[in-house]
Amino acid sequence: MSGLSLSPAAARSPFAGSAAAIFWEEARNALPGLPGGGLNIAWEAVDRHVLDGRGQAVALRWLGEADSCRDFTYLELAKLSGQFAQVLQQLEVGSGERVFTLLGRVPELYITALGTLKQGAVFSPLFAVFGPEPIRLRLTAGKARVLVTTQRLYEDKIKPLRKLLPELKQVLLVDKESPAADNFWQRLNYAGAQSFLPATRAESPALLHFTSGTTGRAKGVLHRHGAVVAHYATAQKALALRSGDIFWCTADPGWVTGTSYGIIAPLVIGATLLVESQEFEPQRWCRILQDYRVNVWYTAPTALRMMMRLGSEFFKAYDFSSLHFAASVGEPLNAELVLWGREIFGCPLHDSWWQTETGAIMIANYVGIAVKPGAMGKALPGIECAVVKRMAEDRLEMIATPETVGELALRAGWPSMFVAYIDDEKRYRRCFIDGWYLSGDLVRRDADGYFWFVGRRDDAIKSAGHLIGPYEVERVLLAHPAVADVGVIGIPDPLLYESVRACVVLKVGFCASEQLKRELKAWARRVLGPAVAPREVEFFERLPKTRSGKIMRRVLRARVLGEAVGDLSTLDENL
Amino acid sequence: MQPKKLEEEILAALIEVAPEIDTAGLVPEKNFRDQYPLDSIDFLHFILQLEKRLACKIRESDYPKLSSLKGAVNYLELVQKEL
Repeated sequence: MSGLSLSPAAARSPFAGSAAAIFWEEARNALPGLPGGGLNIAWEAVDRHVLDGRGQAVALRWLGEADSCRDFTYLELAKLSGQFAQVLQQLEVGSGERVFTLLGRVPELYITALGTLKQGAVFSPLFAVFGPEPIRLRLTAGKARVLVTTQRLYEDKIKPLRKLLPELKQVLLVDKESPAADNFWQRLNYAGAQSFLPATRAESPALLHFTSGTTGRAKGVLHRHGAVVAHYATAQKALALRSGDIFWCTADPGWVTGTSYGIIAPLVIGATLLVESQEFEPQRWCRILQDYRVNVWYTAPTALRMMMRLGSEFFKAYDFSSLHFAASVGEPLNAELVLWGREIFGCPLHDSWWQTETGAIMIANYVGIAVKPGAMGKALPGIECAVVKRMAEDRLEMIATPETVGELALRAGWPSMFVAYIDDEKRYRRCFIDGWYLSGDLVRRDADGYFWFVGRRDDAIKSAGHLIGPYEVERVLLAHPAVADVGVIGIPDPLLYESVRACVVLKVGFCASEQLKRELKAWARRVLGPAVAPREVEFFERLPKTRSGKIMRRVLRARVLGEAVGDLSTLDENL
Repeated sequence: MQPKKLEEEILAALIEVAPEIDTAGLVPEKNFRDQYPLDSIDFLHFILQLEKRLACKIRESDYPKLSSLKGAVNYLELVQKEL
């Protein structure tokens, strides 16, 4: 199992005996663990509630088309996920092997997630709106052994790639009418009840998510079962979530938020997880908050900004009195939005910060501290944060002076810290210096200890809550016959925070035209899907590059925005 | 504007946002998003395109009425009558 061992950086526990260590120890002790020892996310999420006599409580309230709604109790979810674990056992899926989903937010996604974790395999959810290329890259890099999807998604996005995925041994289709051998529900019914106890420990690999950086392909970020301690503790501290609450996390499980808080944390706490299967629509969201009496809501700034467009009058028709806590993640929540939230929903919007690599919320305007509109918040109990500057020879300089911009670093060793970038140990090690995890995000800390987001250290683009790697988009456009060169950048956008823009240099013989712009956009959308593809294409004569030929995206961005370009000392003199 | 012309404008707005889609097999009664890979941002941009092309203002609370070709034609016909 390459890439699954704990690296020294992750295994190190620099804060033994500290307040942070005590905080995490208490959180761990609040979870019973497996009978006979060990730790398993799914066991903590469903089975232990059944053993504790809470099997009849609603675990999952699933909202389908129109006004349809289906409830799953903790007992039902424990049984169904147990049956899926049994299916994996019969398919001889080994511990640590990867089970992927390519699904919308349907009940089968949640059954697969929990069943996979119970069986000891690694769960990796893919965003169904991805185009074929991001899907192929992730299935290949993650060495997918089993994929659960729908007939339509299979035909559209997987079948043409199947030959390129020799390690994918089994596809299960959730449609009721699919052929028996591939039929998710028939397999489940045939498998019968789970006949074994999970055999995982805190160190066992559990979850695989993909995220982007400036260079290279998407990184496979691996988390372990021990992360459940952080899911559990942070949902209480940063989201005020309690047993019995109705909780709605609007993120898709294809992104880390939708798994850590859209599946695991609320179930571990014993809340009812509300799942909305439909795409975003502001009116429907208001009805859900009202009619399903949502108590705690975790959402994203882009959705909030789209709701804000409706004007304050619109919301007066709704009753949001059940809501006692609302929080946001994905990109900075501007102060105006925080205040708007207070006016509309009767409670302020709490910004929070974390990354795929951190596995759980690290910084937030959390329970018990004042909300500072526009700030990310303060470090959660158990988390030590610092503002640092990377120096030569792999050293860090701590920045103590308030209001000074530097890179956000977290003291390594919290329970949900990622344990590997799969098959890229070197890249993993590069994230750590002197026992600190370096986030790549630039921040400043004010005199009260609140962090304020400034930007990314690299060129990754934050758009509608997703982190998009420019290289992933550039390589797709470079494959188009008309494109000689391309630089992809994020442009400030009032709704999305940043919008993806492709700056294209055409090959000789091709003429810049609106038609060609549309063709390039179509090309990228077909391959990447709408969430990742550029929203805008612009033509350039040439792109700014370093002497070694690398695109200077920062300079390109400044040029597009008409800003000063800053230090050009390494820029090619011809440009 | 005639319904036929209105339909052309709607499809042109859709293609402006998502140029990869082939509208030949479009089912007028069916939600655009059930037929094509469009996200919520695409849908908003589609509405903004329509506003620009038809020089009209579509109320935010009416957006869901424009989620299919038929719905959009019906809605925009009414808007034009009111103008």
